[in-house]
Amino acid sequence: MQRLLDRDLLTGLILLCIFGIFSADNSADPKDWIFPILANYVILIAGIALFTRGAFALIIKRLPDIIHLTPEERIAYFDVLVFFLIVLAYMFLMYGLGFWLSSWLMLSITSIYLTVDKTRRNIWLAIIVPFGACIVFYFAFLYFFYVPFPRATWWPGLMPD
Amino acid sequence: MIEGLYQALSLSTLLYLTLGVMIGMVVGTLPGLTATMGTALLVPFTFALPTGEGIAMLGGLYVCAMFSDAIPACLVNTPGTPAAMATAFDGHPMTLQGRGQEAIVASCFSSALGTVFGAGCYLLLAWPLIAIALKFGPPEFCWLGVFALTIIGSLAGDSILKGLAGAAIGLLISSVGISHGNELSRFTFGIPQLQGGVSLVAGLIGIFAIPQVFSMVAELRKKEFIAEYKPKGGETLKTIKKVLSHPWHVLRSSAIGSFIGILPGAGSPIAALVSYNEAIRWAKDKSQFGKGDLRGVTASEIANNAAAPAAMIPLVTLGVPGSSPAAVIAGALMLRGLNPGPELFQNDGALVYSFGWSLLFAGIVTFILGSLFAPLLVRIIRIPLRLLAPLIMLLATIGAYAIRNNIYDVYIMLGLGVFVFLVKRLGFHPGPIGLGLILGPIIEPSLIQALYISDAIGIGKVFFTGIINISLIVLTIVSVGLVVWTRRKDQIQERESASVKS
Repeated sequence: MQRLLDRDLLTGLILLCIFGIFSADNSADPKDWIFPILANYVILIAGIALFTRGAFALIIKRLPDIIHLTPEERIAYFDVLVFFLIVLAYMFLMYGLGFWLSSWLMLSITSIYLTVDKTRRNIWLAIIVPFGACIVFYFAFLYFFYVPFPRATWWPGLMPD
Repeated sequence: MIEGLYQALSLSTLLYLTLGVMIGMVVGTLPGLTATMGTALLVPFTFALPTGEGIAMLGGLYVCAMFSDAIPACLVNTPGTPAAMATAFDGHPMTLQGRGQEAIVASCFSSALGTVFGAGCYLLLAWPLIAIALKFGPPEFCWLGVFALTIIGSLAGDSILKGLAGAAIGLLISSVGISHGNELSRFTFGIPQLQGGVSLVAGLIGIFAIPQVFSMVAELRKKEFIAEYKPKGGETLKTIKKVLSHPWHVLRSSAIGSFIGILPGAGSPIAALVSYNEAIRWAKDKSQFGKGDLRGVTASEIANNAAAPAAMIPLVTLGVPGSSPAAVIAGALMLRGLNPGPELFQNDGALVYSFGWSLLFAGIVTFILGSLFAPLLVRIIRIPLRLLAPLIMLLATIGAYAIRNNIYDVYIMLGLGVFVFLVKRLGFHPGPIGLGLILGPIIEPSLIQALYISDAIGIGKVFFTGIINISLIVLTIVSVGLVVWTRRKDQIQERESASVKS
């Protein structure tokens, strides 16, 4: 299992998967497909080369470049995962709550989570700065750049568009 | 030309031009807001103005947006527009080294130099240059794109294989949607929203901005800010001297930017990338490129700004816009009953030259305002990462959504961002992926058009004859050969120094 975390082996596997995904589609006319097919074959060749290099290192028992995480890195990647999940939730909630309310919630929740030293001042900053930013962006993007943002469907008319 | 200068120097024209520059500074700084969008939004406001002042304002916005896209590129590794992608390669490392103000001032001054050169070409050489540009057909554009792909060698980092794979992934992503040949759906996997393809701006935000945001989140337990803020007096003059200490580099980047800018459809992003690559090729000491070399920033910014006025040359001479903002300006002229092209040149030459002078003055005004605001702008790096990362995520979301008002662009942006963040840990550089995404829509349509032409006269005659084709093929082979030779030399030197140490 540890060997599978070798950088070249993993990269090779990922490239071969990408090749597989983009091979699933094709048609008879060569002009429509020659360009993506050529690009796909470059990915295939790079994937095979990296996978083979990793496999050779394994076979001749040289120590491959093993990917492992230090405890600090585990915490860092956990932070990234939580941040990503909050952002993902935000992208789906914006149609229910409306763009600006969901944006303010996303900014505040992520800022509070990412605040290491959770003093009262820092928590208030994490709530007020996003609020101010949302107000500035609201006027700038809605009234100057005319961007029609998603409206709230859970309580239409109550939240600004 | 003199009458055009007189019109361009009128107080009202200069005032509206300055206003356009200030709006351009905001537009270019915000990732996702392109110069095209800003110009299009400003057009209705110019209806109330006389023609000369209206297009001067639009030109001012366009020129300044080509500078201000360097601000987020340098400070937070997020290009404001695709043209600033190459600026980020060295601009952001400069910020991390506490040289953010130097990076911004260098971008500002380089942008001014490029704009003045490009405007000079517009005013003096429009007709001779367009005669050369007219010789570029689909096969020439295809080879130009392939030549631009050789930049992978400079961007790939330690592994050229991963660089090639990254560029191929970018090319594949650009293929998603409707094909250029028979208009078939490709790689949509049954999702109707993918029929429109992947938006270039959303894609580039996903490739550069989102992984940067995730990296900020990963690092915030180790540091509170992006970098140290070290205000320095006299930075503007010192940086200007550093930029001017490489005159051949400045001239070469300006010439590349102007020439590529004239080619309709090529645009500032390609000009910046080719100029960056040539800067590396011609540099005696290449070791610092990608790690905070000032020449990397100046090469990209001079070229992308020289391309901006140059893109107006085919518009005013042939009526063919050289870039998307040029197309918007063409629309603005047509709405006033003026047809850009030889007719406009003959009937109202003063207006055409006035516009050229306005573009030149826009470069100077951009430099003045940019230098004044640079110390203020650099303070962005003093925003704590815990607030900055979510704010950039919000701006990226707005930017990706605003292009086509399509939430799927935001999902694609996030998906690409996660993918690039993960593969960066496996040794991939985002540059080749972005390169593939930019060059795909240029290479593929040219390739298909050339293949249709070759049905009649044969592939050999289409792709391998003609002075321009042969020149570009030779340049490509030399470029690839140099990359292979340089890497081999570096590997031999590394082995020698390792054996000396042992």
